[in-house]
Amino acid sequence: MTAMTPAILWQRFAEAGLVQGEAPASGEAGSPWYVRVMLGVAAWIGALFLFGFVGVSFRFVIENASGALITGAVLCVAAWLVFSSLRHNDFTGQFGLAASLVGQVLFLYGLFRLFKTERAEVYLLMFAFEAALVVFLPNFLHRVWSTLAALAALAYALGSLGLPYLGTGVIAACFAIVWLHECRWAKPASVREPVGTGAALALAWCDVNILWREAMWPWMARDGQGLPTYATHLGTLLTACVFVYMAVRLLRREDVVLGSRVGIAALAGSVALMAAAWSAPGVTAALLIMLVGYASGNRFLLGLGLIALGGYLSYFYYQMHSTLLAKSAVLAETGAVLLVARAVMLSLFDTAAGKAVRRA
Amino acid sequence: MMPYRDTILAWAEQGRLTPDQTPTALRLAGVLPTPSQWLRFLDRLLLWLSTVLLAAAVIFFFAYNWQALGRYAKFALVEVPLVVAVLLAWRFGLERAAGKAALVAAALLVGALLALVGQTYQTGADTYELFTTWALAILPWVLVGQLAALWLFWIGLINLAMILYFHVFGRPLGSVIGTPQLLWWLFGLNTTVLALWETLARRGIAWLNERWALRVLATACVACITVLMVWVIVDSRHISMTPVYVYCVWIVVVYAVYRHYIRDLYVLANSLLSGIVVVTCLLSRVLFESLHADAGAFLLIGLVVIGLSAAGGWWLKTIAQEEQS
Repeated sequence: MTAMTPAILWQRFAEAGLVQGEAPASGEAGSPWYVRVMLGVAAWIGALFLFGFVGVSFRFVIENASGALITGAVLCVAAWLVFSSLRHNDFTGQFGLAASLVGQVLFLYGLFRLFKTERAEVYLLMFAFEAALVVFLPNFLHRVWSTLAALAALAYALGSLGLPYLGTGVIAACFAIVWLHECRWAKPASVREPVGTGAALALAWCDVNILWREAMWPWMARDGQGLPTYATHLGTLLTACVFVYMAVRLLRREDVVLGSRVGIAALAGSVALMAAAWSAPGVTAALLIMLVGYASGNRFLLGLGLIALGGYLSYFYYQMHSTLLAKSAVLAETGAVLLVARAVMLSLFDTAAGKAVRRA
Repeated sequence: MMPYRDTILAWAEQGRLTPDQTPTALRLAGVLPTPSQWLRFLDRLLLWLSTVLLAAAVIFFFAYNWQALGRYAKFALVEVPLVVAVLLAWRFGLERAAGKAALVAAALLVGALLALVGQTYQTGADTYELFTTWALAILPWVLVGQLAALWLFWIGLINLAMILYFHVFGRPLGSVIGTPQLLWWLFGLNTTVLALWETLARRGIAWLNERWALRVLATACVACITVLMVWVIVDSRHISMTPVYVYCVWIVVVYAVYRHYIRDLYVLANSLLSGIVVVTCLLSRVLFESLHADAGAFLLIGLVVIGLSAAGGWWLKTIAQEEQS
């Protein structure tokens, strides 16, 4: 596609009978992902100093739970006012983001002081608080962060309830639902896009993080009892179901009949992959991010999936729940299933396109 | 993000496209992959992922050091896949993806073989020697492979060998002495490679023109020089101004090259963040240590960081819009 502009694109859509009338005025273009990452990191640095200012100037705020909770909430309301009234001002946008981050840290700190322990209630309250911020604070970066924080809090809450691995599955489901239905839910794009990005980051984070959190469960599990055996499999099962759901959605989108040879092979391949990678669920989650990223034309997700896979393999090496020999067998099985899946795929597509791919 | 993805979704949000029309519009604009693009993507994904997982399985296996398995069986377990990988690379040819994947697998298996040699014969070699030997052993394959990922892996091995070398020999006078020297070496190496790579890519070597690989290298360079600058600011015993001069030159060169010549916003954003970190450290040092400022300094630095990042974000967005129009 050469030298395409929004006007030419609109004309092409009009010729295809998709749109009518004049092309809409082009709005403000979104920033590239790395500009957003730069702004997010800088906002966190700014927030650390603002937090230092609050800590030194208003010591009483962090000395009692209610002070921290109220100040935290007030700062978030202030951020909402800033975002709502000065939506297109870059400085106030960054200031609102940094102020809200300080507010969120204070709110979480207040919750921990109030409950005096890491109980599920604390994480559930944090989840509700962050979810409310996602809905009400109209700023892209803020919504990405709040989604990530909300889903992380939910994962920790499930962990505290004795279901540590379920968090990954729940986050995978949120991620897949948002991205695989983006055309249907195009209306609230200002919410959908950052929520989808936040869910992707949460999934990548949970993917790697679940391993070191494993060491914390004996301490976090109620009454010092071990986790029920089904608890470790629930999350993996849910992630596997989400993966198969994704395969079904994408096959339907590409007009592939599920009962056809290609449909059956794709579903059988997905199930075989889930079975092979059962003891390495991070591989499944990373693959989910990559496939959804490619399907929606989002290169950021594709790169994030690759990073999640690399991070997972590095942590998988040090994971203590099984021997390196067992982990080696899991990786070999998964690799072999992927190779067989490729061979089957190429044999099914004995078309000109398939032959071209084979030759490339 | 694919071009015009946001535009089309914005039109859908405005109600100019119905939910049923949106996928068709996205497909028409080339945002959603076509069946042949899907086939190509899945082919590459399955091929590379299986290669990485199978090679990782071999490495995990030898890290386990299974005592029940004899010495010869262990060598056979790594040498047979290595020979098979080399034969496959030769059979498929290095111009095909399958051949390149086989070559990458062979390069990874050489590491497993060297580790096994060290494990079996207790050579007493340091870890940096393993990585140096590994890098030297696979250099011919890297040269003929014509694959950006393999080059990046090779440069990563050299970086790792350098870090491990300094871990052993670079700290005769304590941990503080070795680190700046190591950072200088890493910065020098990665910057040289980046400059060479960019030059060759601009001269038409297509397989080197992979922006993601160049961005990884640029990130490593920015990280090294930023840490060096922070070191100069934080460490009061540091009297050399060399990092300051090099940093200033680096920033000017990055601006000139990536703003006007190559146009890569990622590297500019990276360098901008580096500038914010350096200014933050400098202000902290001046206000807290030299002027003994208190709460007001926290607020001032916080606002400066917010102001700089907002201005930087606005500047980068302006450049991005210039490039799109």
